[in-house]
Amino acid sequence: MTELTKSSIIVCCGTGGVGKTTTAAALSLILAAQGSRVVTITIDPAKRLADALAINELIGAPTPVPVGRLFPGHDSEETTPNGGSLDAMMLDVKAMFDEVVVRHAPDKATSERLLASRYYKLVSEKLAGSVEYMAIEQLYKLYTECDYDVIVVDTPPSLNAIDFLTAPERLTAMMSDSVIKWMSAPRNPKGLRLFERGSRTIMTVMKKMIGETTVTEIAEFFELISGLAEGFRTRSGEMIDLLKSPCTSFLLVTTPAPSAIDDTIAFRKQLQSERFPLGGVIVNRVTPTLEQLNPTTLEARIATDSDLSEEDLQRVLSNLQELHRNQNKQSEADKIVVDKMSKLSATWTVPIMNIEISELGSLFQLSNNLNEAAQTLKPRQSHIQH
Amino acid sequence: MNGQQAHLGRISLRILDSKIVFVTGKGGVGKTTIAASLAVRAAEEGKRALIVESNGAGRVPKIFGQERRSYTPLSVAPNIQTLSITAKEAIEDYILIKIKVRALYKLVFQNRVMEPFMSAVPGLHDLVHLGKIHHLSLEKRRDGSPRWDIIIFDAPATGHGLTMLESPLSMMKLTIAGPFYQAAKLVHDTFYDSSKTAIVLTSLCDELVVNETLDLYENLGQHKAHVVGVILNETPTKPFEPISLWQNVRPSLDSGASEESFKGLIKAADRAVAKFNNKETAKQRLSQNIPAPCSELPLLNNRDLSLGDLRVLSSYLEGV
Repeated sequence: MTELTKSSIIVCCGTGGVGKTTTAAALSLILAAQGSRVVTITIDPAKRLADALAINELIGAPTPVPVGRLFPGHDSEETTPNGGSLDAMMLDVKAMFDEVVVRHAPDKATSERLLASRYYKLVSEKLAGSVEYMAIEQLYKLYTECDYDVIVVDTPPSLNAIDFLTAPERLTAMMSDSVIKWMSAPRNPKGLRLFERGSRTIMTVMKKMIGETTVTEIAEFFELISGLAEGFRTRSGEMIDLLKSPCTSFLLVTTPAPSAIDDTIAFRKQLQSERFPLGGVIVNRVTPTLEQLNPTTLEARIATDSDLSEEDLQRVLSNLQELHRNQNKQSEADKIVVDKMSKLSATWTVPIMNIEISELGSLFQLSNNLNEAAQTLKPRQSHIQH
Repeated sequence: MNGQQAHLGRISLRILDSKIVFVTGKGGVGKTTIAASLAVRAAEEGKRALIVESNGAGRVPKIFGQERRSYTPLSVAPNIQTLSITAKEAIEDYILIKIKVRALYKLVFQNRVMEPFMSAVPGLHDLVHLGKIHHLSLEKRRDGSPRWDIIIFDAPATGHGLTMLESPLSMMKLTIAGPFYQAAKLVHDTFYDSSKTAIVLTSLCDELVVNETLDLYENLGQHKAHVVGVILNETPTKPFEPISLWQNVRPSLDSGASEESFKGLIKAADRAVAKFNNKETAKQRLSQNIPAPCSELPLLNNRDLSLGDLRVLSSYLEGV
């Protein structure tokens, strides 16, 4: 094992709308600020976040984020005062798929035919699990080829977070021997004999359903990709091993909403049963508790310093009290949820904030809430001997 | 301005007159809640409603207090049934209709190579969802009247929702001709016919979500899909009456060595005002860019919705 294999990996998972992509970026930033050399892979970020990270073009390779600017008086653009850095990239599914095809193809002729086939072009990005698979490929590539302390990866939005983990399996199952033998049967007399009756019936039904040309194209696709199956299988085995190894932490991002929490608890269970290492849970947008309000003090303060009519004064007082009441009611509900979560796993909270992420500074402001999480998740000191 | 407000508030387009309602929007904005509220509204108007959810999620039955999901219609409230589709069940269903012989089906499709193969046909999983809904929309009662007056589909989120709507076209491109092409075309014609299908976008009063909604609208437009309305969820209520009162008193609370309790309150009030202002901006941006009317649902503070909550929400959809 070389020094290169010592990166820590953080995989951020969660259902749609919980702020997963932003959290992954904020965590990467705070890790860099704490001195780690970090790379972050984002999947389909909102334009403003991409702007904040300066990765608005799909380059498919890590690009340095000017983190030095966050530290006034610090003279480097690309490093933090304690030697941390942050590279960011957007996942380019198509490019990664092409790369994988070239890597696993037995010869140049096969990869060229595959890359040129109409069916490959139509399906490669749409195959079930291909975005997830390519995210893991990208992660694995950075892990084996580059020298980062931490690799943070965002995951594609999905209803079931487990989809991410089963992607390699799904994609390789599709290329499995039985499928390939069967699909290439019409061109392979041996295969035809083996599967004769079933194969012929299936072919007839398939041709009836999706048309002869398409069946032929699909058969050709499978025949070509069968040459790659072995490489895919070996590689995805290695990737899953890496995701199950102690250097990986899965980080579950959620909000206090009951449905999001339910999903998180279910996902935690799945991780556990499949023996994927859980790093912790981040509960995003938690409503903070307001201190008790003394209505008399409040009234006195407003009455002294502003020239409101009695009617307006009473109205604004009751508005403020209602605001106070509602917030604390929500805060109470959130607290119950967070307590429930902390009993199950390491849990960090991020308060609901009045900021919008549009540049690196605001992302940094947000990331300060993740200080503690980053301290826990960051690689052990021995990894950071540059 | 008041006229405009009224127009944006309770609207007069008839989402509920459509046979099929396709509800989509960014993940986490409350599509399922909105789909369920639309069904409650339809039922209150005496319509027989079916809510369909994708990928066997089980969320819709859960809102109505049912723990199980089912591929056959499940009655969950008066005049409301739910149905959860999984691609596997829908494919099986379709093939059985097509080839009619169960033994043959078993030979072909319970073969272990079939499932991976089905995953390899791009868009098939999505297409069979639409196909099933198309099929449901044609079901009749004994007296010849439609089995459901309205089918509300809690569709997948933005990107996937769009892919799903594109799936008939993808299939037509893939197959070029033949029976599957014909089937895909039939489904395509149903979902792209504004007299049959209403596409409803859901959004929040949040800049990023509105951006995504506008992108989606533009993409749908390129595909000539017909957006009939936008429903803004969780619209905040006015925190101050009038809103300018806050700017009036804020300095007095923020001055000098302010007590901790005031600091938190200021943040909370700022956030509430910003939220309310965002709502106005969101509505404006939506109405400037999307000619379809926009309707609002309030934020209910209890996060676990009950049927009672759905009735409250559905009352805001009167006339939708």
